[in-house]
Amino acid sequence: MKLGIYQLAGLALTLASTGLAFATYVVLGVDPLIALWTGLAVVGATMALTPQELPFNKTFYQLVYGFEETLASLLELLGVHGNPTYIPAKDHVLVCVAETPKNCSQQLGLNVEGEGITVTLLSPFSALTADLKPPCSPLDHFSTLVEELGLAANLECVSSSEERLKLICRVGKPKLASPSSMSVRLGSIYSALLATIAAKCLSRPVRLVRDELVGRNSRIVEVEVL
Amino acid sequence: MEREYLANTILAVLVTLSVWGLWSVGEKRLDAYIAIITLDYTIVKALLSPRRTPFDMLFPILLAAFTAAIAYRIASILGLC
Repeated sequence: MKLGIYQLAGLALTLASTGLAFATYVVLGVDPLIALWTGLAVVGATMALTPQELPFNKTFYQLVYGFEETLASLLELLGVHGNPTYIPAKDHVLVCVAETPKNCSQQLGLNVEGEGITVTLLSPFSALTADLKPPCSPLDHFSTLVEELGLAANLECVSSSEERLKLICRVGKPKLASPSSMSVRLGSIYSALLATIAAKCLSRPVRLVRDELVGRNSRIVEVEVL
Repeated sequence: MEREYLANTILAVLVTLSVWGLWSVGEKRLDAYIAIITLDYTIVKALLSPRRTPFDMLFPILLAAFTAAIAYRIASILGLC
């Protein structure tokens, strides 16, 4: 495990405090000074156990942005409409764009059936959910991933189950933008990530209901479990 | 991530104030200090829920130290040690 400067400083503080506590015990016996070293050792240990923040990789996200833009253009060219539905399938999660979720097929590619065209693709975040074992909590996993990848400054999520289970998240100060055409057709990176995790965790299809920017610093994403 | 750093800072302040407070009233018993440090840690953990990797191994250690300190104090009151 690679430790950052903060974690190393914590480890050094813990070791130094433990050494000083032992030296105090040897020289002065049981003395309140040992408590001070114990307190510092505890603070050092909390620093050492603090998760390391991953650096925000701008180049990687620029590549993702470019890929999304191409994908959005392709969908526009094909004239595919409708909210995307994320479908769990064995080890993967698929994303299907169709006017109604009933038309969705689990067959990858372009499907022309009856009146409309549907497109089924592998979810761009399918690989990230490979380790998830259903049943699990989609909101917990989504929050952890957003926090670990540093995708937003803060995140508030709730679930409501009036008619169908809905997962709603407010992404505060999102660091990643999505092409507007992509947001219209497949949702932003945030909704795609939430829907992929929810589909995998709950083993049920999940449909994107709402994904929009609210003000300048927030994005609301809402998915519905079918 | 900011929550973890905030929790660490608050804990450092609480521990410093607690040790200084007990020291200034002339407290000499080590178990009193351990109890108050454990209490500080528990308060910060309950209020801010900071994440720890791989898991919060410090909390069970502090809890065990706290239990041992209390057990020792009870045993000494009962004249068992």
